Amino acid sequence: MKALYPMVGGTAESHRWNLKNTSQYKIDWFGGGSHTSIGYVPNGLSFGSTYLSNDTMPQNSCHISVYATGTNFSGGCDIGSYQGSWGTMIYSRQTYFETTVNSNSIVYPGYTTRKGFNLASRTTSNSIFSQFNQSQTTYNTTSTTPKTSFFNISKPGGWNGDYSTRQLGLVSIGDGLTNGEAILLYNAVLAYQTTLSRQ
Amino acid sequence: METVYKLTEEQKDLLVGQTWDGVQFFNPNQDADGNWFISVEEVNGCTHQGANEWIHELPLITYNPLINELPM
Repeated sequence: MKALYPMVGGTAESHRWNLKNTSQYKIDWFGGGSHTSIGYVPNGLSFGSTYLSNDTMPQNSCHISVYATGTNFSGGCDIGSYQGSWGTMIYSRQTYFETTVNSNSIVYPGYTTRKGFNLASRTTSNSIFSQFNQSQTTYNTTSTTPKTSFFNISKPGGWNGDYSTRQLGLVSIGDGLTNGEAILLYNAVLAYQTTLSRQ
Repeated sequence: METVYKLTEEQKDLLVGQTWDGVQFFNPNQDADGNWFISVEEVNGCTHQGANEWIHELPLITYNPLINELPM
């Protein structure tokens, strides 16, 4: 794990902190949006920059995750790093998610609710898996050398567009997680969100 | 977001790198008509720590979003 943003405290300042290492990757917020007890509430033109670049993790070991505490929706990118048609991203579209990790191909798991936990992880050169809550789907895909653009929250780093309005109560970025590790992370995140009554 | 505050390009340059509440940075953007703008939240929440009192004189315009989807 390189960064874990628990987004607790209800203020822009308290939501900046990286629990993994408070001296690294502190978020800067841009634009409007608000910060409440449910976490970060982007307004469709606001985002957070983590200053954590995609190439901090190896090509075949990278994951990103978000926990959505609300059902706001704009079809945009919840977290992402993009550069030259390649990237590592989670999008919430109308009836499906789009996820990719160090690739230029996107996978499209469907869903019935937008509130919950999304994760995308790569631990091999030829596949990634996408997870929503406990449901996982593995897809075959090629990989590319990780790019240097930063991970942004609520829009892709390296691209000015695709802003998301999905409310977020936690974000993580780090090395690749196995299927089992991703379930353990989901369980921990769900317990945390339940404690805060925002599950 | 139905309305936003319109900026000139010079005003946009003044806001880049400035915070509106001491923590959160202005994020001037362009709409589909080429207008620079900032959100109502940025203006209403501004605590003037960067001496940006003039933003309260900005004209409100109807937001015409620029569709800029990422090519993959």
